[in-house]
Amino acid sequence: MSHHCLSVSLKDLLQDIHGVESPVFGLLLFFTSLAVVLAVWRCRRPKRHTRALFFIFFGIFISGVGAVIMLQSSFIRSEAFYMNLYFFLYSGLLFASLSAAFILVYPAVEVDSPSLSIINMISEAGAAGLEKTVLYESLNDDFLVFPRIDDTIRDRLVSRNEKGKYILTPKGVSFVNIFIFFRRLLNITEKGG
Amino acid sequence: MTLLQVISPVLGLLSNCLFQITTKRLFPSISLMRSVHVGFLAGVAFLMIFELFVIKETFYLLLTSSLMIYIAESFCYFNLITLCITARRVRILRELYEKGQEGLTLPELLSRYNANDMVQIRVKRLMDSGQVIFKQDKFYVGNPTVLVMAKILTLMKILLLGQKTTDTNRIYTE
Repeated sequence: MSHHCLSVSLKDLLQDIHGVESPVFGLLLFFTSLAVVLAVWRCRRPKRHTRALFFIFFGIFISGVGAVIMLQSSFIRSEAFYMNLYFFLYSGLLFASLSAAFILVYPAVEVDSPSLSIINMISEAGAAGLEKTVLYESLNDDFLVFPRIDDTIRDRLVSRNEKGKYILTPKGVSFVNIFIFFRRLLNITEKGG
Repeated sequence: MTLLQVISPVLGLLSNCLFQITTKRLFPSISLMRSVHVGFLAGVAFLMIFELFVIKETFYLLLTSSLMIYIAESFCYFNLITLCITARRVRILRELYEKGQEGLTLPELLSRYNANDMVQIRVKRLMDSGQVIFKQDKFYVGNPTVLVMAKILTLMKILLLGQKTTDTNRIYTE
């Protein structure tokens, strides 16, 4: 009896979103992942945040797909609501694009970006303005450069040899080659940084 | 759901990349940001034409969702471009790449790239785009677009990390 009720209510729910089940499913998984990230981060922030984000997003997507396949085979046998490969591909695409956008924004949340720090400092100075010397003294190597060098070592992109020199690891060479390729492709000549 | 509906935002992204790269290579004098705008608009136009005239049976909710995918994909592409220019880690890695197996000591690395250079580059970028105004040896906020972005990020920091600002040195738990 309860099995029948669950089957009927699920069908009603799917009837309401008929035609857009795939994007609704993708969005549902994305917001669930965000909620899980929020809960995990509030309890204990992982050391390797990008890896942790990948695990959470990927894990929730796989669990969601598994749950839908299970529900479909157990409760919903109607052809009208048959979720085919394209259903999963489209929702996967929506989920992956939103997740990738979030993962790309995340480092800016975790680490203060220099440009945003500059803007924030100028904004806080208000109508009085921010003196050039104050800006340059506040943003020094300790704040802007050393943490990033440490990050490259932590992520095994750079190592220090016995002479105390920093050199790229094979992983670092592969990583930087992606950006060198894009810089050439886009004709970017400015040094940047 | 059909295969055409699935690939439509991906094709939109491909046309974005194609137009952006072609514009930048054919017209080197055009700014990178301008080429990004051209690519983005070309992708939107492609997506609309494809959804409305090729798929035909599409409806507005699905079109909105495809547009959402396309915007998120384009945002990722835009981030990849900006990482090539602005990312500190990438700049450090590029400096080391140039020296190969010889490597660089910390003072050598700092002589090629340091906080002073970085602030100069970024202040110039912010002034060129009108975000910051420099008057009588003082900086003021100009066009507030980047300031709005900074406020959104501050909000995300409060939500995720429970704090307004982050210590750039070490903020994760060991």
